[in-house]
Amino acid sequence: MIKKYLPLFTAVSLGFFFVMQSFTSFFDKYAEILRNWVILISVFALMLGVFNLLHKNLKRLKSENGNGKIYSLVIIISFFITVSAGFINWNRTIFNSANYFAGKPELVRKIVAEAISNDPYFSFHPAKEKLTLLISKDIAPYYIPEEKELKESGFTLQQYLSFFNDDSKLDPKLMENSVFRKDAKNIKEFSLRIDNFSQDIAYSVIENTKIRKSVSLYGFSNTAEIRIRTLIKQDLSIRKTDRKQSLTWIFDVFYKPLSTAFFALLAFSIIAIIFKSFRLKNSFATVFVISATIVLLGHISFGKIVADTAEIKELQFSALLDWLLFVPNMSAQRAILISTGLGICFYSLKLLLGIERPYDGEDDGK
Amino acid sequence: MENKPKLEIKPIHLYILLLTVIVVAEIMKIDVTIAPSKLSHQFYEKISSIPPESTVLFSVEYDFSSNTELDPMLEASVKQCMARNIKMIFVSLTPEGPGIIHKVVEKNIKNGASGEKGLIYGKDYVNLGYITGGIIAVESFMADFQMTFPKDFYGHKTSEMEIITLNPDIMNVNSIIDFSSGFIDAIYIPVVYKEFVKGRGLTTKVLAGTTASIVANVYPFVQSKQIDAFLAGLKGAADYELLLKLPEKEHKAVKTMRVQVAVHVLLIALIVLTNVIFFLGKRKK
Amino acid sequence: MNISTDINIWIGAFLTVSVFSILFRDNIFYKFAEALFIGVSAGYFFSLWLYDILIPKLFEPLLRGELIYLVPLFLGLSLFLSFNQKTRWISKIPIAFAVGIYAGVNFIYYLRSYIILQISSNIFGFVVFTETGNIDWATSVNNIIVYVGVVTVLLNFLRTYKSNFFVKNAGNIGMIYIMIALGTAFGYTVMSRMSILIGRIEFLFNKVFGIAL
Repeated sequence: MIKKYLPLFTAVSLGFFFVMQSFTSFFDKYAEILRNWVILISVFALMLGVFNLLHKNLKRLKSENGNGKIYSLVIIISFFITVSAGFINWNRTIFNSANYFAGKPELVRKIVAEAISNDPYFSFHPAKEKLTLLISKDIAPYYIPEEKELKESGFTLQQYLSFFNDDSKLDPKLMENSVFRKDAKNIKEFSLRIDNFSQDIAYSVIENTKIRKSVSLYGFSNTAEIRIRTLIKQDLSIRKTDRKQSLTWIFDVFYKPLSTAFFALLAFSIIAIIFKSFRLKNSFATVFVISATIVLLGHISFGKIVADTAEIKELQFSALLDWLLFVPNMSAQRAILISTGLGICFYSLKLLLGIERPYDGEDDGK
Repeated sequence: MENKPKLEIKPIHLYILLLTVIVVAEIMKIDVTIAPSKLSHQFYEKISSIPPESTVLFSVEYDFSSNTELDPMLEASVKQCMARNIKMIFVSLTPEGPGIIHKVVEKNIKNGASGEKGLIYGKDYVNLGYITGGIIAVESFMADFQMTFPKDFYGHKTSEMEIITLNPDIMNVNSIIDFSSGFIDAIYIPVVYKEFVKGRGLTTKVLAGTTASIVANVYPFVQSKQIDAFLAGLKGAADYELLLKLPEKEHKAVKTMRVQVAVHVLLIALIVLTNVIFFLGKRKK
Repeated sequence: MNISTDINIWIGAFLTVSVFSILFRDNIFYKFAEALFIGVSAGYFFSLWLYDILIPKLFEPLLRGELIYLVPLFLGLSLFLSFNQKTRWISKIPIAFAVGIYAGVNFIYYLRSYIILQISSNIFGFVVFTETGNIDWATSVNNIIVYVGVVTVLLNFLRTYKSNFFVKNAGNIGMIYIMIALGTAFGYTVMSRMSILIGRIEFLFNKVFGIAL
């Protein structure tokens, strides 16, 4: 009894829940949880398929028949190598200049300290260390201002932001040499400048190139650059193993060429099909061939590259193609869409009403 | 005409012919005319009208069956968004997606497409990674990014990212740009995007770039405005590159289009040839 | 021309050529490439499912003590019970779970976007007038063509061997429309397939032999 009706009950009730859910946002929260569960279940289902594949190939490997054994071995070995490559750095930190500083607050703090150490404005500042801490929070890619952090440093947000506008206590001569005071209006701008500066350096270290803008344009000194560069180099040497992106490497070197090459084979089969069957055998075939030919003709045009719509009219075939696509093609496609839509809706309705039960196998449950 | 016993053409001859034409066209660098179509213009203008600092959702759902067409589109639109200072959230419904996104975005940052300001990961853009489940996943992350993607592609927590905390769901997203090779159903996913945002009373625009093989299926949706603008295959990508006025060395689709035109000439010649053979054979009988 | 010295590029080139070698005849290189492709893609997908979805979305919350995630865990694992005859019925529950939700969601989306919106946006005038009051012939004719197309193609799908004279002939007109649609779709498919091949050959030229194109 339960064996028969539990799946049916699950499918029908959830189906109706989601139909109802699309008319009201009242159950959004529960729907969201259920959706995430479905995603997880679909992952398990996909994995089941992979296990099936492995199972089949292991079976073939064990069988007496020697035919194709070596290929089963290739499948299994390449599978396990790829999965373990994913395992090596599943918690990966890809080295790119933009997200390099993510999750490295210590390094960011050091860099900020370096960047402001030569600045006369900060050297006389009473709360230098606390400011370093705050600026480094600001520079971290995931900056969200938090009340708690501000409290720890002893500033209110208002104070923190307006702090640097109060220059009354400082020597104006010193301020002329200050990177911070030169053109940054507030601390946010300044920290963004440090951020760009250090990202640029990180980028140049990682990719082994020159930095994009000169150091003076950022306003910092050359010594600051050298120091920050060493800091990043040190950090990289610690995490050298991370740099080898094994899974990405397999993706780029094996998966991508194989995948594209297999799809490219379709081009060859298409040209064979065209030669074999693009013949004007009857009136329907003629219409088919002619409309396909118009599509091909509509994209042919020799001459200079034109980036102006005014000259479209000169290309006769593309105008014909546009008409073909927007008028007869559109109407036929629309009718096809309506009928597929009807088919799918009826099937879904059958599922919702429990008339069709694909989850019931043919063996039991009857 | 000479009457040979039988002129037999085997598939392998056609394959060699095709390869030869492609190779010759690659070397010869034929000049072609590419006049951006109205639809491509629409696409370009829709992105141009997105105000700076607003957020755009990129949905990448193609595999390597169509990367020659869709990579240039993705790249060009990322370039345009970067230049316009638009924030980008990337999601992917195919396993290949995150890798493709990673490459395209990194390359553009490297080339300085974002200008002097530079981009900050987690603030200006985020690569949320791959999710299974088709439309269920779409519904899920549109309602709550953080719940669907607790971690991004690189393993960082999304709850700590400014771009996600400012855009917890689809409500604040200005436009959705979808690049699809129709792996589920012709153009179902972009249409679902549109339906979803409409259902919530939003005016979010849905722009789609598709592989050529499903272009014909898209037109009913364009007419009914279920898709706001779309780029059609390689030609669309080439149009877009020209509309963006990219420097010539950054032309990817335009380059491929040069070869494509030569291949088209070959195919039309083949269609004519096969029909000539067919009718000659008919007459003999 | 400067030939690449990067081993990664050469692996890619070797694999590409191995796959293309099927065009001549079946051989061990092709079979090797095929097996490698199956293994690597299964492994790559598996890694992403495991490390990008299951671990952050299921196992990490579980380890944090969010016990509600035991439900999807058990539902997912019960799929694996389908191998055993006795426990097979349990594995039907997660399938029914997914089928029910997809049916509910799909029903609404298809109904709205494929049926209602498509029909409603096909409602426009037969005869269209310009601003000055004259008949806009081009648009009017196009509209009529679209109408005829939608109706006749739908009738074509209704055609059975018992159909009356009207449905049969309307269906024939619909068939012409369908052929146009299939023809354009095929033409575009050709474009799409050719561009993959061109992309691959560009890779060989550009990356392997260093010929700037």
